[in-house]
Amino acid sequence: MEMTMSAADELCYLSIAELERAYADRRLSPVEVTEAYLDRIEALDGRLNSYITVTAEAARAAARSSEQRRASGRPLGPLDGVPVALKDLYDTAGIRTTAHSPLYAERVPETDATVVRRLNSAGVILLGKLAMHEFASGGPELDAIFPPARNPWDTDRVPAGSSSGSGAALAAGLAAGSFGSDTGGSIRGPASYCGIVGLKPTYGLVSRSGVIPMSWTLDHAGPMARTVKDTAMLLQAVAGHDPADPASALAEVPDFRVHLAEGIAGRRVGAPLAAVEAAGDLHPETLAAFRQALSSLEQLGASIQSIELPDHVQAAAVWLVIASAEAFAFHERDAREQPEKFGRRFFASMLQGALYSASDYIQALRGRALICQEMGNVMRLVDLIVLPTTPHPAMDFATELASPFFKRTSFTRLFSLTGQPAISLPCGFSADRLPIGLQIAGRPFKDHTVLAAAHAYEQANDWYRQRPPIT
Amino acid sequence: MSEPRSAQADVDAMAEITAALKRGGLRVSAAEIANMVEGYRFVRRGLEAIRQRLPKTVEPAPTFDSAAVYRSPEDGDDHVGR
Repeated sequence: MEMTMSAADELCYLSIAELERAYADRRLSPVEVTEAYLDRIEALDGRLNSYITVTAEAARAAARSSEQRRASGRPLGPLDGVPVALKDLYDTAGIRTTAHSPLYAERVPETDATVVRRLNSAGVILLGKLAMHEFASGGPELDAIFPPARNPWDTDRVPAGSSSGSGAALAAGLAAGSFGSDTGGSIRGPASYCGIVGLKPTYGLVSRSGVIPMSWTLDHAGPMARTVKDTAMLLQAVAGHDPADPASALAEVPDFRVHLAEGIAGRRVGAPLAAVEAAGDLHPETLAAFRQALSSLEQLGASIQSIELPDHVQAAAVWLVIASAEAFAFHERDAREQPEKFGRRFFASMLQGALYSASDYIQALRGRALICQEMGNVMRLVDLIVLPTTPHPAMDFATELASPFFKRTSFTRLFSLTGQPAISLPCGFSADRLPIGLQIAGRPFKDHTVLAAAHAYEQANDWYRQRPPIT
Repeated sequence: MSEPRSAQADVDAMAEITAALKRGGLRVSAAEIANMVEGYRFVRRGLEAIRQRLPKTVEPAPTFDSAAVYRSPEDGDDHVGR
């Protein structure tokens, strides 16, 4: 079917839920939607660098199969025919999986990650593999083997990381959904900077088997999309126990989409305002947007109360020891034998892990246990915690590259340490038209409560309808 | 989040970093080592702060079968752990 460029562009901004309805009603077909996405990637991604690998022919073949299933009334599920793209650390059989590193530039896995296998079983169409920070750490590098992804809201700015390509591709309408990974904020940060939705699920809810690790005890795999409902649909397809991941939980998986209707009315919501306001790098427009979001949540029936969170500076130290020690353990042999195969930024970050003793690592694990206890005390008082996802909107590349990682305030790392679910969704824009993110965290395995609260906020505000000025 | 700078502390940290990297057989330039000093000192200070308030009873957080940890009957739904 021929269509004008603007109609094709509109098609690429349909939500997954809208695509599902359009496929069911035969108003659209997976083939034409996939073609529209491939055309848009071809037209725009030269400026965004969100893709490392576009799997155009495989996507077209998958779209034809999906169309046949839809035509015969036997779709594999609501995601059948939905075009998604994956952070390039999810193993994909026969498709190179690079972790954005020279070390893995030619690496082609023989098997799929569990998430990929489950997505294939759900009938999704893989458009390709997305840019990221090397091995999910270290930050963007301008002279990396693949260029760093750029923010569609302002291509001089970073999309945050490490799931940088996922954030950029979703915001620019270059995929309908994505999966990233989050060790300290790598799903939520790009969601915040790019004005999309990203969920770090409860630790253990989504398998990491076949996902190249950064830090085994902190890594979370999770969905990213343009709406909360789409995020819930993606989560539904992959959540649940996987014996191939030793940290995978034996938890029941609820129907996330059904739970969305629960909203936020009657929920006790904790807001650590004092800690937020004390952040040295807090942008005034981020604070203003956060305060507005609190008012909106209150109008939706939530009861807001002030809370104190565990010390974030100590949490940062604990996180850095665990994350860098585990990253170094994974890369130690290559770091010694072929250091030139790493980007210098990642190499320096990972080498921090060589500096700490076994006792330091154990003390950090004990520190994490103490932080979990302290967070448990907070979660006995409230159902949810809200705070900005990031202290400020997207930075430009020069500022990002000059700013040491450990000096920045992180509102996301605490929930990586505790493993509890946390989502980021848009809650406003700066005067420069840069997105601002709201983070909502909940109790372990109450991902559905977090999604329901986020959905209620999203539907009461229309930030998620905004699109970046890239055409 | 920046920490107070001290020339002697920087020199000590540089020596510790150099020794650790040498022990690990890792080749790193002097400039790269110098860049690691401030972050290393930040972590050392934060780790020491939390170590000082760690009760003896706190054990390293388990990382396997988190469902069993989260959902133990005596803890109920509101337990936060790993």
